[in-house]
Amino acid sequence: MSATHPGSGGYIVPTRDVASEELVLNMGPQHPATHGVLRVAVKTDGEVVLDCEPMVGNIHRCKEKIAENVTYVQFMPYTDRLDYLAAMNNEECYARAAEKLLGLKLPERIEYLRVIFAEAGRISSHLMSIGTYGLDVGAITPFLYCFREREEANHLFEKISGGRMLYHYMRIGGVARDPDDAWIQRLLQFLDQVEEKMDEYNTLMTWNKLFQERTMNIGVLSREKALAFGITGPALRASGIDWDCRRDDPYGIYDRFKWEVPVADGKHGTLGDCWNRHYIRALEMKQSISIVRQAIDKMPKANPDELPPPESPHKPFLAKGVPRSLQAPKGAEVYVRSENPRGELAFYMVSDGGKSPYRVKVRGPSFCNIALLPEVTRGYLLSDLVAIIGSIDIVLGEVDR
Amino acid sequence: MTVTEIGALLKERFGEKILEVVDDERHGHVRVAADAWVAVATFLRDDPRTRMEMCHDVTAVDWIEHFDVVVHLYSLAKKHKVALKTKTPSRDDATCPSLTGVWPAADWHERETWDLMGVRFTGHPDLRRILLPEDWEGHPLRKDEGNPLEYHGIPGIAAIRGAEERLREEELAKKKQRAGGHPGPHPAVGSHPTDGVTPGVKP
Repeated sequence: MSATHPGSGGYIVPTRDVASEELVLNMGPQHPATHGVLRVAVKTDGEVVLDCEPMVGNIHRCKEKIAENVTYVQFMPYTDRLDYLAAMNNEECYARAAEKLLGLKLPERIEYLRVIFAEAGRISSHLMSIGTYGLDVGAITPFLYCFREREEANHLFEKISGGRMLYHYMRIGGVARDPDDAWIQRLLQFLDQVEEKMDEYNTLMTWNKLFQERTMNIGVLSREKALAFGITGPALRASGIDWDCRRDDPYGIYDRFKWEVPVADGKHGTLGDCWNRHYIRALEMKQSISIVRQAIDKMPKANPDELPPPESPHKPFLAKGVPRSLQAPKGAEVYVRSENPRGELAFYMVSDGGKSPYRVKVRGPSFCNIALLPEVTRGYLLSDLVAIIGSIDIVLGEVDR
Repeated sequence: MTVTEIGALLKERFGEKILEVVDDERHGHVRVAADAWVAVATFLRDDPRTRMEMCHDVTAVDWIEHFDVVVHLYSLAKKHKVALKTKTPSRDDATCPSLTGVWPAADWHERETWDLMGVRFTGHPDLRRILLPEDWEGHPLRKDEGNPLEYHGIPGIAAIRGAEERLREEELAKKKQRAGGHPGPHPAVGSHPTDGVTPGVKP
């Protein structure tokens, strides 16, 4: 331990010559900066983190076992509770996995609705992560501003699905309701509002000297480590790896849109530090806004032959020919992934020909990303630990499942 | 590269150790003998033609007689993917070589698989429970694993349901008595698995 340690930021840190003792601290499970019920056991030497271990599983409820005991349709609401800040994206991934397993084809309009809702969900989720990240490093104002915008997203989702957080909007073979023109207009207004306000937030947070001092050159994740640890999502792109599963392994109809994948170049701060992870999220929101606009432009009207209007307002908006009782062929298995706000979510599903899946495995991106925490925190100050956890951006519902 | 091409490459290098190549539209995978598990993984990671840098997921499936360990690999440079599968020797001897030496990402995934499915990964540096508490007994994702009756004084769902059922039966018996009829034994009495278990009290 030396006084010029990379994470010390110029502060005087205890050296080996000073009589000091290692101390094990428990951060969490009830700690506002751990973003949920995460417990981190931290071995400290004064203010410096020597080692840490994230202890997960506090809200584990074995959703994979639940999936084996319910039908394909009944498991859909459980996927909302994985990454509860981006419930639309989880539903979209599960619906796609189940459809691939069951061999269902989707009408065009449903494909476009899936993209619109997944990207709107990403905007809503990133507003939350950016706002709470400000809170983590001591800026309360951006949190309130981001929640003002997120409130509008919640209203929109509530109008269409009835839920403000856990929507259960995507259905296997369709969606719950078809949005009308008034709703689409309100969504476009919301996009304009977010686009305008994002510039303000960048001035307020991203280019703020105080914020940069707290986050730049902190928690540096190298390219090699990011790959070896299976990191995905904004954290991977902040380390300079040009990979987005929506563009490079396109699913759904993502290959029909034009947008750029934001990748950190290390011009500001260090490649792979906390600031870059935050900045990638801010840039991604703009791209999502562009994708939603393109999708709304191109979205066709529903063709009643393949997508009939529901018989009553209480019935879901499903493609024609989706059986009421779903049964996958025996021995079929799929591994479907999607680019979620926090990384790549994947469902591995195996069928034995019954009405419920034989095995469902959820690969939660937060679970893989938090495993890396000890690697990026060693040698930094204890207060930086909060900034690093916030920049990795985990949701414990997905870690613990 | 497609799964067939990757399978052909592996067959050329490992011969009989590659048991099966399935290039299915849904899920393309290569079945590997357990003793070549780590060697195949290392080859796929290091060979310039495959370059599987990312271990996306490690998991297992319970097939009653044995477990299948499944690994999903992706190459960001080559933009292709493959799944590897291997069998554990039997249900009682549920062991599989660990891939933590090849990809550090496998560490937590293997711990989770051990915790929930009970597959022991030999060579794993720190195979502990991860999601469940350390004193938990059993592995919940195994097909023969039932609901626990209680854990540290917290009644399990089976115990709660049993107690509810007993209360209902008592009510029914009382009603019948009040009506003057003979209640008679209920077919479920004495045969319910949770008989004699009171929620919140250790047996």
